[in-house]
Amino acid sequence: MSAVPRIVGTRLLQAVPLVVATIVVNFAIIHLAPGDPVTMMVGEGAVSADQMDTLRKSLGLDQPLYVQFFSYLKSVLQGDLGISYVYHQPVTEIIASRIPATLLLMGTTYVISTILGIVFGIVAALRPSSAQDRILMTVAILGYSVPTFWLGFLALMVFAVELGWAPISGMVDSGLAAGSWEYWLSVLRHLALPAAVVSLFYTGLIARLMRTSMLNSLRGDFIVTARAMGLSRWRVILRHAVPTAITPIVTVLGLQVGLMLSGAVLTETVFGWPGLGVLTVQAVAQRDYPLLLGMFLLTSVMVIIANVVTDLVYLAINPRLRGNG
Amino acid sequence: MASLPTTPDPRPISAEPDELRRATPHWLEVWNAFRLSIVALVSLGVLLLLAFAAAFAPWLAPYSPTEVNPMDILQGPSGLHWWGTDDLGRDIYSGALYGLRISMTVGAMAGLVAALLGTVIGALAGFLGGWIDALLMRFTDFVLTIPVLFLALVLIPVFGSSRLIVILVIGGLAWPSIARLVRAEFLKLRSEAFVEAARGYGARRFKLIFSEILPNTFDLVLVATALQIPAAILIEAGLSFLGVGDPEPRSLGLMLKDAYGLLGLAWWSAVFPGLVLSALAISLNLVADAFNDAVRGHE
Repeated sequence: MSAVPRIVGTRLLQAVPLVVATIVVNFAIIHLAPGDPVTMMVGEGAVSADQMDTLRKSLGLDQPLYVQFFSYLKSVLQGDLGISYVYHQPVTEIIASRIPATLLLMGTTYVISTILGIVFGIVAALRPSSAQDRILMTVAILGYSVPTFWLGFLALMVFAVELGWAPISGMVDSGLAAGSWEYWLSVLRHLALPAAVVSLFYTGLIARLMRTSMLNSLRGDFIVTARAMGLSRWRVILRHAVPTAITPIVTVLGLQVGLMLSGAVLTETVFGWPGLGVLTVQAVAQRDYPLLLGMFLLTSVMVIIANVVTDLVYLAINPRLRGNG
Repeated sequence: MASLPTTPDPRPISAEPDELRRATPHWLEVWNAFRLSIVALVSLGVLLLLAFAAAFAPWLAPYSPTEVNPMDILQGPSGLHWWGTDDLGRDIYSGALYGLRISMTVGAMAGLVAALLGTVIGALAGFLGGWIDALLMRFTDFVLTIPVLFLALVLIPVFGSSRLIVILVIGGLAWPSIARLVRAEFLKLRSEAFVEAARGYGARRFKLIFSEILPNTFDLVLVATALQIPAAILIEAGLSFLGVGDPEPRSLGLMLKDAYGLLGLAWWSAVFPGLVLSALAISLNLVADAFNDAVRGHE
């Protein structure tokens, strides 16, 4: 057991160079980006060359690159990601205001698709090559092959435009008191379509992986032994096979945290969901580099954290790994 | 291929165990396993049909994909325009045929980039082992968690939008699963008899990699790459939908982007290009999946 703190420490230490590397890449992108940041900020030909020079000096852009890098590093570590060109507000504030919407949509999908994916994967694996297995797995492949943004788009055409059952875009109707019962009901109505569409995608993905994992687990010697000891089939499946099969899935679920942000970009765009995805797309369209790089940094750090957490969860549920990290 | 003059060519020695201990089955066996599945055969048929349509788009398309026709805007499907026209009077069917070309090209090229990177990184990690292996695998795990679409969305405007950049960004992030597979095969194969035999005859490291181990990983790399291609195609379409994909003026993603602006006005402008894109991704995934089962089933 004494190995655990050491492994945790190693994993955390390994994350540090990754975070620093991300900051370096971020800095490099700022300087690789076409166009000078000052021109970007004020617009082409809007002010005189003298004024541009003054602005450049005030931003420290006349300093050597390494000086600029350290001042950038310092401000990032202090949580200052600069001011958005478009919103004229601190990037951190803009990003923070959008996090809850993305968290709600992606969190809902994450929970739904994890539960359904694991259940479908188990059901398919219990009778491999049977009709139920083939149908479930073909549907699962359909689930992650059909582009989510197109499916979302069709769902909007049918349920919002034609039938009028769901709102066309946004997260909540305006004019409702935040936190009231009607407010949350309205959020739920807005959430249903995007959450269903994205869940289909991830359920398919997780079901496939769970099936493979479950098949491996059911082949294990311990399953045969447990059956031979006279335990009932369902007890063996639920108490022994499933927990073993879920362990490798944890890694995959950790990976999904990053991938879900990709999903968020498209889904939020289609459904006009006011989260980080839409914010990023707007920042790209408006060449709002501070905001874009802030999003890039946030995403990288989230991915790194998700990696570390996944490692640790894996460690916690898989005691065999504790000895030799 | 040249062997050292002082050592006999290891090939004749390795040839026999190579045949006997092949980790992967013959293509005929793979095909025999593959054709057992009706779903796989139907998907292969659809895929070949789509490939044919993409290859012969200029001959099959009744109109230019980009030709604006103000007299024919927002026409529903008819004998004149099979899949209707959009708000600029462009023929959807012709556009989708050309779009299919772009999707397939970008998917295949990104797959190629991923296969090359994955093979090199996996081979180095698996063959060299030690801290290089540990470092490369840590890096592989990290790349695996990068949200590709998100990163591409940020990077492509910075590097400038061109088909090459799109291919490099998508392919450059799609290699981890291939690298892991190649590494695992290398770990398995490096202690196999035929490799040991070649080593015993004094074959050099890189000769071992290229003429003994690598050829044996070929079909697994092919399968792993095939599984990445539909994802690459969907990412390109997603990027085009967001306006930063392939710069060609008409691709499936761009057609869907345009259709999104016509929400509720012209269902055909959204349904048909999306169906083509879905059919492509579904058939590719089903074929790759059946192919994967067929190759692995014989292990």
